[in-house]
Amino acid sequence: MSKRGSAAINIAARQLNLGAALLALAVLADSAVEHYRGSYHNRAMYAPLAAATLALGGSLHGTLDRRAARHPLRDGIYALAAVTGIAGLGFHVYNIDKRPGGWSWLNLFYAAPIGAPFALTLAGFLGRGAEKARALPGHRSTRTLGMPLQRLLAAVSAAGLAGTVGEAALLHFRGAYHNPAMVLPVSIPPVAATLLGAAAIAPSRTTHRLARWWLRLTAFLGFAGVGLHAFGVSRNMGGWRNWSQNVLNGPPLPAPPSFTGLALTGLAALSLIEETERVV
Amino acid sequence: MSDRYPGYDVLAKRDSPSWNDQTRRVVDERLALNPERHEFFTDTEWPTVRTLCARILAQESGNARDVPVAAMLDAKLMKDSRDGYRDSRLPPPREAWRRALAAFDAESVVRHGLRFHELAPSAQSDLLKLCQQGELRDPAWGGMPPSEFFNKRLLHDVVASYYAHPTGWSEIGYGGPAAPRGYVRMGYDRRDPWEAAQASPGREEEARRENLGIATAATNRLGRGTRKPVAHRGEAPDDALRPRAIGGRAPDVFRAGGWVPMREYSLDEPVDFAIVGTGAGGGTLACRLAEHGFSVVALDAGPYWRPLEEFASDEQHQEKLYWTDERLVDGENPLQLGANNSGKSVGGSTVHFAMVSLRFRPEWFKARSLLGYGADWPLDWREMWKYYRQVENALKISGPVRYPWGPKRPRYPYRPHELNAAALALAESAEALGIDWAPTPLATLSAPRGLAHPCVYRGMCVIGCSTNAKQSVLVTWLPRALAAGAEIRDQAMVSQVEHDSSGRITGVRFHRQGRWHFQRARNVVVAGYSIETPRLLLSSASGRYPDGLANSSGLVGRNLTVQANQAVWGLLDREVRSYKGPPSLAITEHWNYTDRGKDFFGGYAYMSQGPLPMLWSRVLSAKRGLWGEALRAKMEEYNHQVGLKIVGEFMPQERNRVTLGDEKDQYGLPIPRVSYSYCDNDRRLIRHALDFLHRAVDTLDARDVWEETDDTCHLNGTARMGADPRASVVDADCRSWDIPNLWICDGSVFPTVGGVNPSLTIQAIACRTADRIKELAARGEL
Repeated sequence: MSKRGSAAINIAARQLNLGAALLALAVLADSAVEHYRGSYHNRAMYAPLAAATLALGGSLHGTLDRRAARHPLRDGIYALAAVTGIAGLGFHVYNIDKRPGGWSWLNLFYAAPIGAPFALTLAGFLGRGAEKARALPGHRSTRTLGMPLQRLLAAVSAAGLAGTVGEAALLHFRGAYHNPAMVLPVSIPPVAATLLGAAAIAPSRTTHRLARWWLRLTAFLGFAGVGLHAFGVSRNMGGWRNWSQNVLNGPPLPAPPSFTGLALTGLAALSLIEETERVV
Repeated sequence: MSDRYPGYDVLAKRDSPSWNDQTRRVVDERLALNPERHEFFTDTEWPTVRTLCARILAQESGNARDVPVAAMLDAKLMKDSRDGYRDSRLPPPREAWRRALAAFDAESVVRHGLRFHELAPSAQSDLLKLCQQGELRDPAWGGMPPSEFFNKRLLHDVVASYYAHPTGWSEIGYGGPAAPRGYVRMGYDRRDPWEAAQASPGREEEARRENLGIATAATNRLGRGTRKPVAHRGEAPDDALRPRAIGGRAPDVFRAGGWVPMREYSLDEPVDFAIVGTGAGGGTLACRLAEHGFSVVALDAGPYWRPLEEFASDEQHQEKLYWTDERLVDGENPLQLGANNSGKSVGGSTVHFAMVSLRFRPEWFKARSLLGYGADWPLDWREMWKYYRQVENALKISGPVRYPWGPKRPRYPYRPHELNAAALALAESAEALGIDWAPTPLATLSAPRGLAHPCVYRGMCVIGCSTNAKQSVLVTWLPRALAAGAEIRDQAMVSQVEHDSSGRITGVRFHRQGRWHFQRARNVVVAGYSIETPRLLLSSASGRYPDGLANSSGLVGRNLTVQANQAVWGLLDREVRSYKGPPSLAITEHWNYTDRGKDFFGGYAYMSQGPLPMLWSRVLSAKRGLWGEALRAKMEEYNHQVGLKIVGEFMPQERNRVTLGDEKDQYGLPIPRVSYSYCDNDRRLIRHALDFLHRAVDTLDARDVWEETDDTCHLNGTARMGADPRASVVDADCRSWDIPNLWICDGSVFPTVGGVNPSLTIQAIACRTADRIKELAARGEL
């Protein structure tokens, strides 16, 4: 592999770290706010805060770490985050299941959100991918779960985007799409996710070019979403002066950056594909 | 008294976002009341009043923390503010109190040779018990039944005053004022940091620390502990007593101090429609007729509020929304009116309704033919289904994604609200009993809409929503009506609908700004709800129509049909805190749609409950007979009480009716007399419902379970619609059979009432009527 190629892979790997960092940040902020709302009535509710903080620290470290080798501590942190996310999923499923109405729309709207813990798992998984990707220049044919690593990362980012779209769709449905802007996260990211998925299955120059543009748009949307949600908070009675209620009851500020994080990992995965495979 | 919420003081939140200026103003005024001030009571009466109040509320006389109940009562009587209904066996409040105070002293002197306040507290309590049981017979009572005075005057006035005071709120751990900030955490045993912490045994200090923390948080935020004076923005509060919709503009309900342009019509030029009343019937119709291009003037006796700045988080202050003009009630089961079901505001009772927005079961429109009771409606349910949809969209009803009962209906425009613990209790018990439940379809926003905020779960829906989340007629149909060119005339009391020598209606006579006026109109719509509508039609009697207008059938005022509102209450070990969130977040219509196993005609729905402290103290005292220590102790369990309450279908009966009494009101108009008695079927329905509610509450492991057996809610009937002019007052189009340009459009036209809250159906009928009028006009048949 050329020097230029190795450098590009290193950049892509660190971009994966950065994406994981954003996901971890979103999870940290979101679980802090939502579990505060839930009065931390169960001690396990602190777990995602701890795991996401570690993942955030590790990811930032990885983002700045130019070395081409995987870092065992970061690797361990990512594994912990992934496992914590899956455990959280279990807790949230249990929470929904025990409530009157069970798997009803009402509980999907207001009980523990089913998709949220999975963002932590994604951060862990994609972070581990970042670590593995650093080693790619040495082993061109790294396979994970029976798939070439670069394609797996693209597929997981695409699936993560799809899941995040699902959550936005559910919660914006809860808000009755009262503002036209609420349609954006269920219309732009799905295109990006589809193109990214296509690139994971059958990379081509055209697919890559299109996917990149839509992923960039999605990344931007994640940032803009925070602004829109901040406006949403101000729309509630008392506005920001009544923050102690409206930050909790208004649209969640930390939710949209998940899109940015996953768009970044998707872009990084595309780079990895381009550097490791012949894309025509 | 035990200290269940140590260190908690509602007033600590005064300068936090939990209070708005209007609330500060109202509560400051109450706190400034001098406990010794008495303007209404004489110096002779005063010690008796004070002692009575102390006994009823088990207050140590002279304690600094005592609530100045006697002075609050004095202020109320000085203003002579009424409840909007009076048992016909009792004289007006001032006279009742004077007579009773003299009687208590007389009874006391006869028994002990001392005046009432000179007795030992135990002897005072004994005398009060005798009064409650109706065992006092001194001539000083002057024919007033002592037990009725005790239950309907003494307890009603005194008990509620205590729980209208911050001291009472703090004692029971009530959150107190809650606007703009409402509540976030609504489940069992959940509490926002600005709510009272309850002491559990051995952990009193922890609760005290948290409760003192509420004060510190509120004070730190403002950097001082002193009360900032409340500035007046916009208009002074007493401006509400003058008409506002005048001079080409009407209040903008969405902006503090704001105005919107309003078209005005001359008195002398006949308008197409003069509508009397702006509630669910009149307000909706005014909007739709104006949108169809007719010239419309809608008159309302009440004021035109701006909820954002004028509604306080305060039960007592918000009594300004109710129709409290005198009405006499009698019969075997005298009704409660006023706060219970009668509004006097632009927007009518929808300004304080509980927002429950349900469709009729289809068969109810043909109750006589299909179900064997009551009367058939001249309307087809499929057509009504279309209009229900129109109204649900106009109000952006928040409802379940899938409704478990009845024919398939389109999705509600907004999603359901999160359940509070009281609603979760209903859901749990329904699942334990194996019946369906659902989040209640409510006319309050679960997401923003235009300039209206979504619900903040402050739980004060039935005293007026200061958030504008409630989709009342005031904030939905009326802004549209104004935009479409209708004129809303607030504080305009209509006294008479007049006609010419041919019998056709010529307009309405009304009182506004201290003078009488006459508005000419080609058509008049009476939409004053089931008491004011027949009252106006009856008092408009003339030589040509000696029995009142539209009354050739003799049915105007008859078939007044209220709905059953019985409940079963109990206490849970868990904290419920049902003051948070809309009061009726969960519902089951099981017994509206299931006929098997019923020994009665009709049906009922039941809903979760969230009574506020004043109301709850009245329920416990008047319905359960509690006062003194017993009442204070039960009130302390406020945050643990849970209840299920029905809206049940009563049968129409001709003997239940509205007539004109002999007394006159402030306009010189005869006050209405409202007679009500349950029939056997009503009683069987109540028994069935209470038994079932008992079973439901029992599944929750509740203790201290009791039945509230005597309560009713919505008013309907008194000008029923039908297909036969001899057996009804109006036709399917709400047009009176007798006079072609006289219409009636409100809950009065219901031939039967079903087991659901009526507001959605009233609005659907108004929408249909507007469309029918447009068609008739196009055919030249108006």
